[in-house]
Amino acid sequence: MDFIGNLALGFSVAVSPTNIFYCFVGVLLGTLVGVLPGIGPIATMAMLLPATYALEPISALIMLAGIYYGAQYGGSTSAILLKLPGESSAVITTLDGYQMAQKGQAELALSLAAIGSFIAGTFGTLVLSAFAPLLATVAVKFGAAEYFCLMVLGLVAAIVLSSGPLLKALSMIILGLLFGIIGTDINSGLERYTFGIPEVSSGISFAVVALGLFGVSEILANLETGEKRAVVSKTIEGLWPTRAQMRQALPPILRGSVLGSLLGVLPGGGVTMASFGSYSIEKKIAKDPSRFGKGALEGVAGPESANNSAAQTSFIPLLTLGVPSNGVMAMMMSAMMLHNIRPGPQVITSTPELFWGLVASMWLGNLILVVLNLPLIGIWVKLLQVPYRLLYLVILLFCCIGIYSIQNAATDIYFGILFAILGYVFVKLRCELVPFLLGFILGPMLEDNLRRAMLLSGGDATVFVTRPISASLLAVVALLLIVALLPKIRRKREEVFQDQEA
Amino acid sequence: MKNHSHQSVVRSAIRAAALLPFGLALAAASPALAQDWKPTRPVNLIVPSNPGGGHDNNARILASTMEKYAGQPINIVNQAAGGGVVAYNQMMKAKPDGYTVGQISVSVVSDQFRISGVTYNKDSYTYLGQISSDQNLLVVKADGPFGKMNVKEFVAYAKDNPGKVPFGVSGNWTNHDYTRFQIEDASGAKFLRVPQKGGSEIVLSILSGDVQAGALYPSEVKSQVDAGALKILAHNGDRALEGWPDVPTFTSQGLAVDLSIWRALVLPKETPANIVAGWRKILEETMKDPAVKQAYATAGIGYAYRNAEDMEKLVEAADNAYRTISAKAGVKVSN
Repeated sequence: MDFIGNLALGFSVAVSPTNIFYCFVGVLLGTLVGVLPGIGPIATMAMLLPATYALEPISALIMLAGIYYGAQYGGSTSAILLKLPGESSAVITTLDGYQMAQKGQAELALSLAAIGSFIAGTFGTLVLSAFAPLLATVAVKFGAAEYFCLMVLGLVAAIVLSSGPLLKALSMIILGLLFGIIGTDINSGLERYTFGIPEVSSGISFAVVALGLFGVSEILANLETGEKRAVVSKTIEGLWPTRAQMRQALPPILRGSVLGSLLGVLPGGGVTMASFGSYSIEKKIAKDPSRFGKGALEGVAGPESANNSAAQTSFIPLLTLGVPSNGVMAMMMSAMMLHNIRPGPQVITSTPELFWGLVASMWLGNLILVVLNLPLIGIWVKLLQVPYRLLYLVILLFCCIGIYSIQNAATDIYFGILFAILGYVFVKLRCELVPFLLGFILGPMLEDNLRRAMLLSGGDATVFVTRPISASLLAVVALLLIVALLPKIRRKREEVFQDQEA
Repeated sequence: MKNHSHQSVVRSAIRAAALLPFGLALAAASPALAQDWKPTRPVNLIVPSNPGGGHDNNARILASTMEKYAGQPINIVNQAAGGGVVAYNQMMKAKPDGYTVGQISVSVVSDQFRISGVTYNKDSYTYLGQISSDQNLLVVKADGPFGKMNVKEFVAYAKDNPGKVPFGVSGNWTNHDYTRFQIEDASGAKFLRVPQKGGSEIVLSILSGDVQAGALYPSEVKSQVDAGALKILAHNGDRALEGWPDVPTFTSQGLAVDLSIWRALVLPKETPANIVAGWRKILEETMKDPAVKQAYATAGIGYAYRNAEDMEKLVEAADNAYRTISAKAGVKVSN
């Protein structure tokens, strides 16, 4: 394994002026579509695909990859400033990022996200170049039983670590699970709760729920308080984190990077699980967990790093197995095939300059993102000084365009309105929205994998404890539950809750 | 900004290059040809899938060549809602003025047997011609228990061990699932049917050992087969498989597994005859352009073209075949 030699080859390809140019174009476009709620990287890549015919394959791939991780990055900007998660991986960032912005630390939150993403991107690139083939074998070790246990872990963590009362968190998760049921049951082909509307026969899209629940309901809540919000959000702290803040943020960034690069390898849900997992860990090990949800900078630095390194390593299943793990990767696969490159185990050996060039370009792209975005932060934050009566109209417009563009269906806008009302009610009832969304995202995967595992085992539930990986995951679940149910800790949770009420 | 102008430069360059042979052809054309209907403004091509993947790829490749024969830009409109149902309804109800073309697959005739409320069928459209064909491959893990078997030995094993061989199919009564049923019906084998979300999920399941076999498209398995991780036992096409000429067809092994899988272009039923004739000619010219064949091969799309008349026969035959099998398999319309 000539690790250094490989990277050197990669950089020699990536730093050519043409490729740097396309990398720049990619991350710039990605940042823009990431910031605009609802307009995702997939549609952007599809629109640009014809234009890439004329390019060298490597330049085309560098640009398209740049759109993807640029969008991951841009998604955090709207999550922090407007509480609008454009991507499922940015949901967690709305919690503390938005609170930081409300406290006047918008620039700090954005710069932490940028620095964290860069460190995580660097780490992800190293992981990708050193362990890509090895990590690919992990992905194929995960069968239905393992995925099921991973989803259980995610949901249990969501309950244990939420800040409000247990019962409310549990109810919100279950509600989320129920909404996740809508659509066609994969096993029987029967439609569930679709009321004969063909547009929802494959389920309600994440973006519809997220934009309605978070974005539009936040607007409703803000309009209630009038122009107060714009005054609050004036910047009171500078762009650069102080030495003390950096010392506070660095460990979460590193932990997030490691966690993200591991979970990113898993097809489906990996990137979202990464940002969520990182938040859970940071909250769990924090000396004072009550700060979370009120603008803790660890709650931005950790998840933002995790989703970025996961975005890097999510290329591993595509590049080493030829299996696209999400819609964006399916788009990358189409692009590669249009250039006569078949993603799969042979890419590294047959076209090393392409593989390593792409890997190296991702690091360069992350560098460009930081350089590009640190100066832009000032401009983004100015957004908050736009009078809210004007700003909210623009946000609403973009939410509608974004929701409509998912599948060119007006029906989705009506559902978006429905979720906006629902979100407003939840906020009034002081119910947390994140457990709902996690239930909604993880629920369908949980069900699919549970049923598949049981089908394959012939109805024998011991399959979850006899397979080593799923057994270990369940052990972690048990540990979490014990910790949550220990009386001492429970009392502490309740104290925290009373503090919040006061 | 920068990118936008760059993109339009590239696009107009491509378009200019593409229009060159068109101009030459026009100059040489007879007066009769010059009267053929052609669009005079951009055209929408409705595709029943999201960006990325086989359907969308097919449309984008086709459109890039078809633009030069149509003389107008062709916009791809992705309409994946309802697994294609919404798109097929839109194609049926579109204004019949030649500016909305639809790309369909064989599911246009099979949906009525499995989805409630489906009102379209083989008679709902005017066909322009076939644009591609696909095969279902029977795939197993190369170093798994069936990697050394041929297709006859494999189905014999599944017959002796009913319900013991997990078989991954994407979705419920999709063409993959019909293929699974045809294999069972033709051989007496009985698999453990495992519905999954899509081809890539099944590939991973076979690699992880969760399922033992699957019915998959060539483009979904090519890299793993070339790398020696997966093995193709048979395919349901009617001629040698591109890239793997040694893989037998099911029928050559005495198994009647032969459902055809194809894509075609259509117009709304009421489209005037001159517009239909114009589009049929545009499609024929496009499909005979070597650029299409080459781009298909690169993208792993099976090249096949039938003109409108032959296409109608193919649709008729597919309707019969799916009707017969659906009745035999007891497929129920969902509700």
